[in-house]
Amino acid sequence: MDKRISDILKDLCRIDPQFKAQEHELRKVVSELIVLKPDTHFDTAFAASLRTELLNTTIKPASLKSPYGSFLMSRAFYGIIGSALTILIAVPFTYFATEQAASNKSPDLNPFSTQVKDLSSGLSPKQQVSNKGINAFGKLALLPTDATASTTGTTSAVSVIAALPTSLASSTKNNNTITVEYKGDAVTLGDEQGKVFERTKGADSGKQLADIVRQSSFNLAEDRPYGYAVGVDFEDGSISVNPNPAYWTKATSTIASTTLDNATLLSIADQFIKDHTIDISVYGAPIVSFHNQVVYPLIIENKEVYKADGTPYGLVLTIDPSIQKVASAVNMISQTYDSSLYNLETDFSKVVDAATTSLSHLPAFKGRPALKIASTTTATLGTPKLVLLRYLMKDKTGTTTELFVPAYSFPVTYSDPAEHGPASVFVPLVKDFLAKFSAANGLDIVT
Amino acid sequence: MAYNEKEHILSCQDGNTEAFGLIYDHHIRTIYNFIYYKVLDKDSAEDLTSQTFLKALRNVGSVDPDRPIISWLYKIAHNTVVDHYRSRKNTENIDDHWDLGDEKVDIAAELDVSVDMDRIGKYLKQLSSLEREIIFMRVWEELPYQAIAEVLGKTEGNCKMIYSRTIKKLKSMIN
Repeated sequence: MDKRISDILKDLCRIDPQFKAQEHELRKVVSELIVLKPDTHFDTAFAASLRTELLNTTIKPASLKSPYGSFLMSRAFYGIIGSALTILIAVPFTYFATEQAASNKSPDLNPFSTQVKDLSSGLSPKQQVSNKGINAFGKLALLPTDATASTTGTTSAVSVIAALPTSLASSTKNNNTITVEYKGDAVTLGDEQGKVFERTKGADSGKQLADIVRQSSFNLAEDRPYGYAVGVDFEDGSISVNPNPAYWTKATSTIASTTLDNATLLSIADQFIKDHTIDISVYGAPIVSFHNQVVYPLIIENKEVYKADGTPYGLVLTIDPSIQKVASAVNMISQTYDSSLYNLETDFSKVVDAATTSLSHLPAFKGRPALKIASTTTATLGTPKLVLLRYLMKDKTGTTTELFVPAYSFPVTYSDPAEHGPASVFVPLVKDFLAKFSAANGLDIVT
Repeated sequence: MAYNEKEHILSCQDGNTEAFGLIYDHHIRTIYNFIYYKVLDKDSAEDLTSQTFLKALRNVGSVDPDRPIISWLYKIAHNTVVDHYRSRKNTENIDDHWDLGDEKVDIAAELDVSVDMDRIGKYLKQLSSLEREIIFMRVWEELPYQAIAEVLGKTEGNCKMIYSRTIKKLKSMIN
């Protein structure tokens, strides 16, 4: 408060220099005024609710610049447009929710793929990418999947989206063989070089973290029932939100034991984002991932990011089903990157071969029973989409850096719909990296 | 995303409701507080805040993007509160409901205000409504003089003078 008082006194002295001589008395007055400022009982839930109401109203911002006359300014017009927008938004969401509810299979990204692209298009103002030329990160010596890729790992209706093998432990014991065939479109790999991104964690990163906290409505430690505590890790360039233990009476141990339906999880996550005005412009549409987790996949230059085990990488909200509240939010990361061009594989048949090999050598998932793929199963690969895979790399100083490597994600369907195989298989496109990937039968590469 | 008000206003005027959401996020608390100081009641403040932003959404096309939108929002909020009291009390001194406390309404009892309100009232009731508004906006809400001047329809210099005079008055009361 002292700074506030001093600021007000300086302001007053600028208006009337005579105040300078009365500083002691004025300090008392100003201090009294500040202390007496009433608690206005501002309610963030009210603010969020009003926001939703305003943005969903059929009254739309009236434009002075409209050259189209009164009809375009009329409530009827905006009502029609509002209804159309509502349908456009609601239909894909309803479709997705219905599909997920009706299926025990892992959520497929495809229904959202178009939406993700639309959302991400031009909406990454916070991302700063500096071009560093060719092969700037040296030889890509990548570490195995980072620890965060490990998950609770039991099968459930909402569990696995896709998986590239993450453990060598059981791979040789997997005797299942499947026939893999590619039935997607013919793809021409025109680009001889592609961008690899490295997340940087310097001063710009720190500034971004400060901005994220400032623009959200979080307090560093919220002093209320079910309040949160915000952690800022400047070294890692990330922000996490966890329960303020003084105000959470429910243990979060119930998180893994109960699940909510996907629509409920998405709704709770969405409300949390709105309530706390978290900027999600660099993330795609939310996906229900593992037990009670909702992931907002990171988008870098219009490409979705996946971890090396094939699960989406991004902002993760974990929901406590017993109280239906978000129990934690992690991976709110700074968005400063260096990029560098690396040679890409230009022979698509080699990429398909790598995908086939990878799928044919699937081991058990971590902590899961062996994949239930019968020897007679045929897996069909569809047309891939370009994504980024997140890997960790240690540089010469031993510092771990995050790299985002261009890759193809092939959707996979099985001749027997009951099969529990992965919904997608990923193949990195950087030429040297792909060679190692293929040599290791598509398993994690440790160099 | 950095808050770029001019850009958001222009985007709003192109029919982008989401841009209005960003403006809303930036100013909701300030406007709510401003209204609360006038009505001293949470439910009324929320109701009037809703009306204020609904009017703003309807009329955002008329905003000058080169000026701070907060002044415009304050004006709407101010008028909304005036309308509220006009319909509720039908009293001659609509802006000055703080002065109603002694004779007509037991504000503290009726509006569930904190005990400190007595102390606030003790000093602030002796100020004119204009002086009180300047204290609210400058000391409590830290608004720039430009915005205060626009809300009150006065020049910046005039607002500074009133503010300075008000502080002197408070000094003589408190000390």
